[in-house]
Amino acid sequence: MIKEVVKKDIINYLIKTSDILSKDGPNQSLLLKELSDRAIEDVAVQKDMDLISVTVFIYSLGKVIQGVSAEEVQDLVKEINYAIKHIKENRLGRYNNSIKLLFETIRKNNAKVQIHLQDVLQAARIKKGAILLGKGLSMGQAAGLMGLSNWDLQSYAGKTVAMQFGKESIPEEQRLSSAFKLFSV
Amino acid sequence: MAKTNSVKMKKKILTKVDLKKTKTFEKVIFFDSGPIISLVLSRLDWILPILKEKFGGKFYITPAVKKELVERPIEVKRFEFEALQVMKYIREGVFEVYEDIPQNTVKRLQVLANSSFQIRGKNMDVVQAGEMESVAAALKTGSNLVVMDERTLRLFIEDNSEMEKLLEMRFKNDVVSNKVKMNEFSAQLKGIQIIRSVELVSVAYKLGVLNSYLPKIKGAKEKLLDAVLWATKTNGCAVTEDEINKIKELILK
Repeated sequence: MIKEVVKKDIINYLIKTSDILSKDGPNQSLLLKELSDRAIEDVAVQKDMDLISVTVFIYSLGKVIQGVSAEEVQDLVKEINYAIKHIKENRLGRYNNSIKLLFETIRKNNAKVQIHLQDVLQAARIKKGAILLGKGLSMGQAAGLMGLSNWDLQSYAGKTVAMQFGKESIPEEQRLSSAFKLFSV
Repeated sequence: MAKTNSVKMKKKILTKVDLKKTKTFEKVIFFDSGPIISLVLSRLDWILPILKEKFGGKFYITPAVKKELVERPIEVKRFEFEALQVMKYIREGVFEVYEDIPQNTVKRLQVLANSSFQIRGKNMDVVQAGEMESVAAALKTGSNLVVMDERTLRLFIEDNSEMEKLLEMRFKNDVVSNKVKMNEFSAQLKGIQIIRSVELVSVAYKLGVLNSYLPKIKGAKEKLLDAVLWATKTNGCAVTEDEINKIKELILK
């Protein structure tokens, strides 16, 4: 059972995705990325797997959209609209099927994407996990929500600004001095 | 009768003192998964056995940390070898798994932390139970020492007002803080002392453990220190550039 508040979020993001796909233009990739960035904020609050799945879908779609043909885009829009209809009607089995098909539509129809899809999805989880870190969630919490290991997230986030926030209340002199004392340096 | 009671009481006091002594004298540091990941990814994990010897006590990890360091990555091709590296340290006794986790304390601290902030009327889960294990175990043993690279929990323990500011900034003031819970959480963890992998690397440098890497160039010492500190940072230790500069200034002066 999907919570009402999450359902609203999912519908909202799927409608926006459908709108972006319906308007052909060079900015589709950027717009999808921005949309997934907004969605991740709701992921941080709701911690819901269905919402995570939609967020990962939107982000990875943004990554591959330039390689997807107009016909395939139409298929995607159609399936997104089915997903919206099913979730509105609480037909969750059918909704899940539509989400599965959305990923499969990309997989089936684009050989290039087919090869890289796993990487694209994994990268989407890692990037979204780093955003959750930046929002203030702990490493374990962010990795756990995105279905990642800490190794995946930490090795990526360390090279970004995701972990740079907040002022240090303990001066480095003090922390270093404590460490030196502990090891009798 | 009075004498017997007095002897019993003395014995009781002695036992208590002895227990306290045992607790106080057991030198223990608890490691979160983050610093071990940072060191392994930086290819600096080999300093750990040397540091342990120098410390003269135990390096503990909790079962949740072991799961994150070994059991999960062993199933992932990308980090399979890293998992084996950590397994080797456990096998060789560099790290011991501390099994006696005070689960009630873990739960209590987790509930406090994760009900300290609300966003859009919903509790914000900022930390996981597993992350709280090291801290709770450090409190239990009385060692109060934790090596942790992760910033959120550290910020929460050391300065919860910064944590509040961060969430307000990132969620555009949609955050409602529960000061009572925030302060209760911080009060319970008041004695915890945290160091990071970057400080461990600094200790190793200061001990001369890294000297074989000194290049034959001008400013070799600074180059080496800079290199290892940045390696640790880029592999996940939450340390600012200013702090790195400060460490260099303090060590190289």
